Amino acid sequence: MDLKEKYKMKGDSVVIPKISVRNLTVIYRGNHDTPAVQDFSFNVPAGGFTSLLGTSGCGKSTIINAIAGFVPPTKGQVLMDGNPIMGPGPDRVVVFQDYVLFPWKTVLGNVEFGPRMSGKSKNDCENIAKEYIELVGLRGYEHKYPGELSGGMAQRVGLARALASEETGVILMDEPFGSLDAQTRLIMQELLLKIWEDLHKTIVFVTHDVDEAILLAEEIIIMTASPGRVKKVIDVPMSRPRSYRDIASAEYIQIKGEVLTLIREETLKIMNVSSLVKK
Amino acid sequence: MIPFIKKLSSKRLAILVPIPLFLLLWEIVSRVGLYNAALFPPPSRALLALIEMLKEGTLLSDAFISVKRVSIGFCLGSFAGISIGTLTGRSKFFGITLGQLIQLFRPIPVIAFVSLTIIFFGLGEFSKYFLITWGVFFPVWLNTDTGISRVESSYLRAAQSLGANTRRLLTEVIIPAALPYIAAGMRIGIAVAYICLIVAEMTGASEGLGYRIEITRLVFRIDKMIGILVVLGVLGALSDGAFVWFRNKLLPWHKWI
Repeated sequence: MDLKEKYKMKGDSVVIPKISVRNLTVIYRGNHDTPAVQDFSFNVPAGGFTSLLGTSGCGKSTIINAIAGFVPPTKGQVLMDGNPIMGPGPDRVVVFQDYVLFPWKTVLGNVEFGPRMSGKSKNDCENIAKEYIELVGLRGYEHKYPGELSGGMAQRVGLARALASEETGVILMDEPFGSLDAQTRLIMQELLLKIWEDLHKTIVFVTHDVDEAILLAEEIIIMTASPGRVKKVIDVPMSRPRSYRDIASAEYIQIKGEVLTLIREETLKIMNVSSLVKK
Repeated sequence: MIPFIKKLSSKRLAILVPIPLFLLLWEIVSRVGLYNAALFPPPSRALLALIEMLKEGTLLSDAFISVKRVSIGFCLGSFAGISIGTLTGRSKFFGITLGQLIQLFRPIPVIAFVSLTIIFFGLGEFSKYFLITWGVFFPVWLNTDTGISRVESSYLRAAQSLGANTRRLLTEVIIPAALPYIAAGMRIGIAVAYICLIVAEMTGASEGLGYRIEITRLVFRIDKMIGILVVLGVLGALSDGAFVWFRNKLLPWHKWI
């Protein structure tokens, strides 16, 4: 079923979401009893920033992996621009929690990987790569190897590498700042906000950090603990451009209270701390 | 004396002190006459014997032919090990079929093949190349197979999500990721190559360092024999050192994997 065709035939002016996850269920082999993700549905509009928020082990990464095309849906569908996703591809690049830079390539070699795979000339690849290396503030580090970089620098390379793959309309981020210290994380969040506001990419961002989700996203999808289902979708109507100062605003605090309550319920479920539940 | 020692770095000290001390001790023990000096010559005699062989011209020609055999055998064995290891490490089918076949041969000590090699291929150069190639193949193959099959799936995912097709995945990700393993296998291969060389030359050759060891034994020139052992030690160390130097030049990142 090709949704695009369907809409065209009807002559509707319905906007097709950039990413559409429909009734997604993923069951990993050898684990027939508990699905990692169950009956999960959400849409991300083009240029949107959606955050998946949940406790650890709730299947957040599974959803990213399904959109990336690494994991096939057991049931349901994952669509991009209305077409089913068949496998990994450069139209949806992933930024990983542990960076996954290629240690045998320099910073430049890593960032120009995407352009090179799309068959651009050597010169073009280098120019594109340098542009994004500059964007993430790593000019002068082009010829360093990933092993020589700190975590924050490595993830900036990861971000530049994803952005340099220019067909990319969608960036899938799997707890990208999870391994960084709190101060570096804050700077990275601001950098990402600025890049998103400037480059109009569609971002799906997985995190278990409540502040991170509210600060960055337009929409937060709160997930239940295992198996992962949609618990609640929360809009974050805070104005843009945002900055770290917004975490002190009344609006922010109100949203955070709501989100924390929902997340806490799920955390208590898996932790079985009955003394806290009674209160 | 003591300020002189203090000035040296610990690394230099490790080389400069024990070796002269060892040679001095050896010289003394040998000269005291506790043991027949013809069977246990002092290092000074071994050095003179080396100079003698150098003048005769045998040392250089023996060393040359031996190094040539080792180099050709090492290159052929590495090439075979890397290509077949890539195949068995990457393809499940070849990993099971061909891999199991290779595993059947791997535990048989290379040295045990010497007689069969001579029967099959005679006493010519091919026999030597074959034996060294055979010996080098196994460690290089095993390490390549391991390195290729254990490439982290996250690297593959990252590359695929950036648009790499199957061919680019192999050349840009899988093989580079396995290179440190492959290099480690080749380094073992160098040591194995020298073992195979000496065995092949001692049992059926008319020139080469292994052959010369056999000859010196027959004519009781133990001083010459020790001289050749020293040359072999130096050649082995130089080969290993050169390999490590090239590895560090070509794979400056290997220490971070």
